[in-house]
Amino acid sequence: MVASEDLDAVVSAAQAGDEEAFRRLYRAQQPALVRYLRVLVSDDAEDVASESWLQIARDLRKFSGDWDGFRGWTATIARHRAMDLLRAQRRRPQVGVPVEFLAEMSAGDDTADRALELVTTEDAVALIASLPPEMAEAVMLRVVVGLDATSTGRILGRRAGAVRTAAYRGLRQLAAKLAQRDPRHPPEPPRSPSWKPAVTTSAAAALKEMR
Amino acid sequence: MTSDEEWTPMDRTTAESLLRGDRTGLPLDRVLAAAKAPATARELAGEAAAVAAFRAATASSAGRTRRFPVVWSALSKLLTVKVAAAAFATTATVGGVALAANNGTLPGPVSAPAASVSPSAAPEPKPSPSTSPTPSASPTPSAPARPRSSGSPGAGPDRVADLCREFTRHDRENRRRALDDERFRELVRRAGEKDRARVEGFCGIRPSGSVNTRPSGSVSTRPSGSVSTRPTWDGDRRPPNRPRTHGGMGPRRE
Repeated sequence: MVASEDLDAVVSAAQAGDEEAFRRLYRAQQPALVRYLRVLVSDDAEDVASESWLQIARDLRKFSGDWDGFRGWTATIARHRAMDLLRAQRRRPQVGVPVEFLAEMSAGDDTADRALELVTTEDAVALIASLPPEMAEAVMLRVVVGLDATSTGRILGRRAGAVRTAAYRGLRQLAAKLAQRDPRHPPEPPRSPSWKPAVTTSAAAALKEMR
Repeated sequence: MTSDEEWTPMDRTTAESLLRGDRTGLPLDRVLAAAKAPATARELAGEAAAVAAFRAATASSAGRTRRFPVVWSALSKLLTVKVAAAAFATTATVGGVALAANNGTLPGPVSAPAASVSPSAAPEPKPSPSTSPTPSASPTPSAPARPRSSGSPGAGPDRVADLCREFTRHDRENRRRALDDERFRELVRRAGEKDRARVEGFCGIRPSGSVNTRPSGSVSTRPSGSVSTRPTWDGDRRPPNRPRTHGGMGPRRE
């Protein structure tokens, strides 16, 4: 991974018209974008990413910011293009699975199985994409695109606290999915008041924030 | 970590660690690490198109002051047949786009590909007569507003390059007729006018009758040593992208 200070300079160079710099930005950011888009538009992720890059290339001069800013900016563009597509197709994000899907996960759903065995990027992204949309987006933007809660919130139009909660819940659900699929470990036990105090406190706070 | 601890419901601290990418000992580590693993070649397949768009944007905004040494050093590295061929296809596309943009004829320079593939929310009142119907034109959810989902290549630079290539294969008379062909509608739109010379210009074809060594059908049949063949572009009307007049680092031909 390239240090972000380096990439700050690369962003400036690309804005000044340096094509090689632009290539570096593309290579550094495209994987994150296309994976993020996967949770939004599934098979159309590559196409939407391509459209996004056309716009990024066009508007790069107007952008002002460093590498962190660039990541947020490009994710915003990607999300807008994805929403355009979803609007045009009049469908909801691919990951529009109801929250109670965990209980309904059938034996035929082997996403978690595969994620445990192989943990390929594709499987991992598919597993995250199986979360409810707001969780999937929060997890992808924070983990894969590498944004902080505030930037993620700006993109999603939500407060940082809400983003933290969504990401947190998403991770919990992912862990539960893995546990459910991994015979070596029992599934996550139900919440009980007998946890260690530290855990109880933060979990309670989390619960509160979730409401 | 024991498995008991491992499956205690994660607390916020653990979650934050996971989000930061720290190892927590949870199986989730592996999933998250995989989700942000380095790029695969497939993921970077659109690089040429992205760079083409960048080049066109740079050319149209920087005009004649554009310097091109970077392109030359990059090209000199690209001498495998396949890469050179891909690079050429890219160049061909951008050449067309850049030229048209320079002539001020391209409707929405460089942004055109993006705008045409997506019914964007941008304040663009005119319905885009591109490969896709506008959303309002297709109210039925059963008919996707765009052909993308059915595997259509869309109207990105590669698509335009293909159209140019096909257009170039026609002779002069057939080209004029081809302009009425639905298939070339996108090309006509990009060129800005249903005019043979205009579309030829857009595709980087020399006006017929002028002295030009470029073979027709050049885009597809051109040999692939990119550096040696590239100067053909200098014979074309591509003022914004003339590298030799400014760059100074490339192999000078003049």
